[in-house]
Amino acid sequence: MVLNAEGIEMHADIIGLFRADITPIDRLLQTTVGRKEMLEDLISKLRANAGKKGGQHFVFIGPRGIGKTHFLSLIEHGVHTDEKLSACYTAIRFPEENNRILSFADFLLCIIRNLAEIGSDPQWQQLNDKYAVLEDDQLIIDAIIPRLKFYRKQSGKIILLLLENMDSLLTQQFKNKQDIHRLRTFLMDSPCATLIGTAPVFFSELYNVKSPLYDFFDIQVLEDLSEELTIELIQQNLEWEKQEALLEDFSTLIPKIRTIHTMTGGNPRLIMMLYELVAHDTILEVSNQFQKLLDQISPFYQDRLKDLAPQERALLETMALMRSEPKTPAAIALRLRKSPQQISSLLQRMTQAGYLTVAGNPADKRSRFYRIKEGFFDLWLAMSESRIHKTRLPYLVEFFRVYYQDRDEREKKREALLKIGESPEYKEREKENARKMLDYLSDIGNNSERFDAKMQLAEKSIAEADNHAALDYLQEMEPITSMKPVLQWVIQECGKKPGEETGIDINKWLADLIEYWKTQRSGELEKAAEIAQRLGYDLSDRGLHEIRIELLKDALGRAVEPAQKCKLLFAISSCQQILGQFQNALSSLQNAELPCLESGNKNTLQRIYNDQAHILHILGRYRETIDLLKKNDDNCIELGTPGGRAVSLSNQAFSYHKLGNLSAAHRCANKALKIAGKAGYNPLAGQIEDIIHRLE
Amino acid sequence: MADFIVGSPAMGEDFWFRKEFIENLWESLEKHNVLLIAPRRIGKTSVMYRMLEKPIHGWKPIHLNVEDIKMPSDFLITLIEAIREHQPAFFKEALAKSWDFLKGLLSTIEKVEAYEFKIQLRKKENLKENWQERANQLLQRIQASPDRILFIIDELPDMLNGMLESTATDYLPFLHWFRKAREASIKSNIRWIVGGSVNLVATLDKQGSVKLINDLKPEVLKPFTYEEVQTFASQMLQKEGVGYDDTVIPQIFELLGSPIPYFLQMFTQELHRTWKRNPSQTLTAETVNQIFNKTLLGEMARDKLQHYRTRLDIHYSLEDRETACLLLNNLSLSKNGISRRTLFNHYKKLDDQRPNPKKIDALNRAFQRLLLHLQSDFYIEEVKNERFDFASRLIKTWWKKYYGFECGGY
Repeated sequence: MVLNAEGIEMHADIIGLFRADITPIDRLLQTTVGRKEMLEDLISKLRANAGKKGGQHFVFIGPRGIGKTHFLSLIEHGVHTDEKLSACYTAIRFPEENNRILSFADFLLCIIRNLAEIGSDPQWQQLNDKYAVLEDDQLIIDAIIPRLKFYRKQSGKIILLLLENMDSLLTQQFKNKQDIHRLRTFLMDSPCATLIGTAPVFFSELYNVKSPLYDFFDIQVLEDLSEELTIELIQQNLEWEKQEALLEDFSTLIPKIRTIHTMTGGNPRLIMMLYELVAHDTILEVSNQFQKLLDQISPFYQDRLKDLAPQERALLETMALMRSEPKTPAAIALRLRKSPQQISSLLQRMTQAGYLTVAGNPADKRSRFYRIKEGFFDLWLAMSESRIHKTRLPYLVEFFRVYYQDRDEREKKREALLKIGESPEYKEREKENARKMLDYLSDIGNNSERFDAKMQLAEKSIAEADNHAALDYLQEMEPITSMKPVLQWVIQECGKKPGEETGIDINKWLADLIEYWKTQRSGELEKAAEIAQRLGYDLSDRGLHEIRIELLKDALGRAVEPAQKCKLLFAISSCQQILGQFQNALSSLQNAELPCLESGNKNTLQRIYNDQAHILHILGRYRETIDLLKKNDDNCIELGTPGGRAVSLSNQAFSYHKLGNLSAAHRCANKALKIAGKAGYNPLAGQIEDIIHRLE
Repeated sequence: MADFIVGSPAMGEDFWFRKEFIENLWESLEKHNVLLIAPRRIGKTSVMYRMLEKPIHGWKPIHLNVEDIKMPSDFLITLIEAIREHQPAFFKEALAKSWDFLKGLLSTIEKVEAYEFKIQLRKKENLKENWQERANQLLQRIQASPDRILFIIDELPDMLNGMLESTATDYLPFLHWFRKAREASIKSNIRWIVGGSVNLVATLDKQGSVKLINDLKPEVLKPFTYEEVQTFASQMLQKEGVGYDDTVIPQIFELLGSPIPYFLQMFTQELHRTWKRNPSQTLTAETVNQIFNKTLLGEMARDKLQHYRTRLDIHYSLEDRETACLLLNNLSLSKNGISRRTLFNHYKKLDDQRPNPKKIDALNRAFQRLLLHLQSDFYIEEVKNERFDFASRLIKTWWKKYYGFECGGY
């Protein structure tokens, strides 16, 4: 919950996260950093100029999100609250988007409309009513300018024009060049107005020698915040919101804020957007606003890109995609498939042109790190280029990655968020927000951690009957698991339309699979292995042996108990035999011997030997078959299983026969018959008699 | 108290120096109409406003900025309005009371709502047709008065360009009328000062109409001297309480050379702002260098100074542009300028590579003409006998940084 200084709860919109002009002024005043000197300088100039004949006009240039609107709000407030200034100036704030102004006459009409709104003099409204409907610009200009001059004379006040997006107004909206001359004349001759404007770029009217406004303004640049100022900004906002818990531990927050600074390049708006995540976890709001903001700024940056040569565009887009990679010339060259020399000269040019900044590489004095200077441009490029993770903004993923670098911290956060989801104390919106945070956190960490996190979310989705969401998570899990075939099969099953199903209850199966992973993660490996086997049988029944093998192998990878390993290997071998993968099956059985011996399970050992012998016989490796069967014979003697012995000996007979050693074959067969007969295994004895006949 | 004025005209206590120049102007005006010549940002408008604020010898100055005017009729209306604004008493007595054109408007003028005046003037009659007649009547009425009237016309070249673009048929008639008006005024109590950011001579020369202004006496407004730089910078910095050592002022001059006032204002203001961020510091030559590189040669200034390069593209022929760039590139790399002879050699070398190289006489003439253009446009000046260098060290430094690489030096 966010409170203002009066203790009133505030919604993110009211906080003005992304509309600084609606942020309460007291908050703006208390939390402004890095602009104090510039503001004081301007205010003192306004004071000095108040009584003078000549005027001075100002333009503040800065990229998106640098705080131009914020700065104008501070100026406006400064004028209103200063006795001398409010006696000398009437501040008029043009709306941020002033698309209705298409000429100098429209500009003047906007001034008098504002005067009508703020003042008690009815003449402004009357003037507006009379002239706003006329088509003749000259008439409007001739009518309004003398009145404004008269206003200055009569009231002693200068009209302080606070105007944003001057670049659009003067380069696009003012169609007629004469209007720019008119504006200049108005501002210069017997000035009744002082103009303070902002623009995101140095636009042509400022630097073009043919422009009337060339060198007309005192231009200053609003710079990105330094690291220290970024820390101060966040601290000020925490103090304003009385976030005591975070403030108490502020020193531990500082390294994270430094990383935020690097991510944002010191752009105040980006910093504040990420601040919202730091202070309030308002991921839903933040990601919505990011999307909106990017849509808004897209046309602007598309135009900027058009001005660049193809290789310059390619460079910027490539750099924007290298989110967590250090952007050294060598790394960039590799990505662009160009030589380092070509890239170095391109980087220099782009740095000189103001698109990039460069910093030394602390690890290697010979190399440098480059960065796209304008934070929003960087962000927009990355977002535009990224074709994946449409629901998850890569920029925010990056934020979480740098903010929650410690795994323990992440797990604690996840726990806390899960509790929100389960607690009835929280509203639906808060739960949704927690869920979204978990979603982002599921992209952080190594493969194992991410897999677990996504699995948890898949499980939640199933519990909430949201199979689509579960499926999405499974698809994300697929590249980071060793059980690709299993997952691929599940995803495929989930995606089947009615009528296409294979008859399996995929939801239940999915839940069981998740149960299996969970059990595994919790360390109950034996139980996990049992689940895997059960699931495996399910798969076997449907002829899905490959998938069963993957599942069993996964369980095997984590099994610790020899008995468990033995069972799993045996089961794997069975599947492999069904698939005709005899060599693999043989290996599995051979691998099963040791754990079987360790677990002392001689019965299973007997089956292992028999199966191995069977496979060897199929493979025509008769000598090995006989040796193995002899081993089995010894095992059966130890076990005291005459039936086993009889089977073993009869199998030996077959192998001897294949080797052409008929006397040995007969010997083994007769011995087998004798043991079976003595043990009373009549059906077995009958089978052995058949074998003897065949041998004859 | 004086303040830094960057971009706008400096008026009142913000206006520095130029005393002698202004005195000379007043003196010239006794016998001449004047063409005020200077490149952009030198301070022509500030000088004009100074004359407006502090007239002498009984002159009644009337200032008008005509840059947004495209028609002679608008010029006339603006002129009349300017007289009313700047010399209301004279306007009422000498014009409004007796001139039939303005008679009906007297009551309007006398009301508090005098701001309807210009509208009423436009409505009165169709001045597009008969502006010359009315303009002549106006001047005759003024000549008949005992007062000395000085018209200060700012940004005339812009008006002429605008006129040429929109109503080309008015262009020459206006110039002719204006020439006659000036000739008549010389014998009377009216004087004209004309000026503008664009070089009027070059503008009219291109249009073949330069003889229509050759009656005007050119007065060249030059950049500040070293002493003026020293006075301005030291007084402004001291006024603001800025701590600086004695290397600062010489370094400012060293970097700016004979500075354009705009850049001097901007530079000193930036020094002040830098100091304010850390008031305990003492500014040194090193600080001056840093600010110079960042502010005057950095991103912000680059675009401003670019106009010196762009101007060549706009106002010079292709051939002249190419040669001008070559000469300027070489000059930027020189330490103390280049002799005329060496410049000519560069010029000749380039011309020899062209398909139809000039013969020696024509080559000499073309070279002289180019050199004169470059001087009149304030790119270069003669620093010693037959030796030339950039007129502004700032521009030289900037040019060297961005274009000097195009040639390998000389």
